[in-house]
Amino acid sequence: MSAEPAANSTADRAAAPRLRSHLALLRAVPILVLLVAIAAQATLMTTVNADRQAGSGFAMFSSVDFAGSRSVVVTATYNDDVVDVRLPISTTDQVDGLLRSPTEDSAAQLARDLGEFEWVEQDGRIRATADGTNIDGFSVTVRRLTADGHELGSEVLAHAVAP
Amino acid sequence: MTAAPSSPVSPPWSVTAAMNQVRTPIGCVLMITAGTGIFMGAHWSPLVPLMLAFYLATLLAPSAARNSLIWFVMAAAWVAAVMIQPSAMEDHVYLYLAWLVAIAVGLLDRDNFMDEAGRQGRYLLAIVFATATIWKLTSGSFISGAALWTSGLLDDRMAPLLNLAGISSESLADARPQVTAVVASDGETFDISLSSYSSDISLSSYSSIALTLVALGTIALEALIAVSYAAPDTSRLAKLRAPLLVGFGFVTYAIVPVLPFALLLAVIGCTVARFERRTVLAFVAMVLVAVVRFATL
Repeated sequence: MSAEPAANSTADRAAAPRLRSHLALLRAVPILVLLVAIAAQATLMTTVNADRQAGSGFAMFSSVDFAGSRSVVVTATYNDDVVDVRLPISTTDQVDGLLRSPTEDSAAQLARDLGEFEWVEQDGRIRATADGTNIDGFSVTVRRLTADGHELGSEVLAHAVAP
Repeated sequence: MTAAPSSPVSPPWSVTAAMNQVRTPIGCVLMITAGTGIFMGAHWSPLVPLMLAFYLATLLAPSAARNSLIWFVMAAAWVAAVMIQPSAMEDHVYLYLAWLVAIAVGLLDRDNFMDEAGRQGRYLLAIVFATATIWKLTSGSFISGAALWTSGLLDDRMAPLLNLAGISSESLADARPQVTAVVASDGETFDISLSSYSSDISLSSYSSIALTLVALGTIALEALIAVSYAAPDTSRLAKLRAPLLVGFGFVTYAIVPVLPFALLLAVIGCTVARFERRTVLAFVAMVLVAVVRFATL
């Protein structure tokens, strides 16, 4: 009974140097996994303004700009007036996506999709309804907070108008 | 003939096996890491049953759980999760994924597992905290305290931190619609310096200075953690690793209790410290702070 573990132990010892040389390469893998994840998120943050508080950036609380501090402003022309649009609940996921990663394309898509609804005016805004009228020319703007010292301002991240 | 090293022979699935598992550092690393996965599953619920089964396996079948391949498979499951549901993932999930791979690599040479896992843990923590420091230094709105103020404005969990800086919850509530107006239109601005909210100039000055000090203190703490974990074990800085990380955990998780992240930092921190008794107790206290804060939110 005791011979087998001893043999295994000898085999293990013989294999150890080979294993250790492979380990030298494998050792870098966990670090590479983390570095690649961070680099990917950093690229998204700097190129398409991806949310700092999501993904693998480790940038929590580092800026005034994050998905929760952004806004999606939607307007439309209704009876020759520019009015604010109350977004339908069904667009919630789309709006969340815009806040997390705003692009001109996704803003344009939302503007086009809003044209599919029927609208009615209420309290100076328009809201989607089953028996309203179709409207074209929705304008979608995603804005973010900026800070200059203690002064907060804002700027446009993405903007699109449906034809 | 020498007797084989004595190890209690017990069935692969037993309470005795579980107890023996808990008594070894390697067993603790595997068990706590697998258990942390259950909480990480909050980011993608289909992984919860898998991580629960995995945790039970590390507890009741410790020998099987020391197979490197299983840990690579678990890491692969998390890779799939971040590919399928990227928007639900937060940064600690990626650290967890890298830690799973680190354990898998460490288990390829079980005799030196604690050394290898400790080394991997050091590098991972150094990278994470160095990255966090760099973002804060370069964001342009952290050092002034504006980022913390804005986070506190929109995240109620941060209120205790801002209250300590002399900023009342009422002043934040007053500011909320004004900041909403700023981010919704062109040309609007809002000054967060506290003279806007308080007629008491000394309180305003205190708050402005306090916010900046909190921001600078956060950067200093995170940078020191990165440096201490990057430094070699023989360095004097290495002695600061656990105290700094525990200090960070106490401050952070007493405000924003991200339990999976706290557990993950604790298990990596304990691994780096080779499960030294006092360090383990300190990390347990850190996790308890997160639990208590979470329960009382």
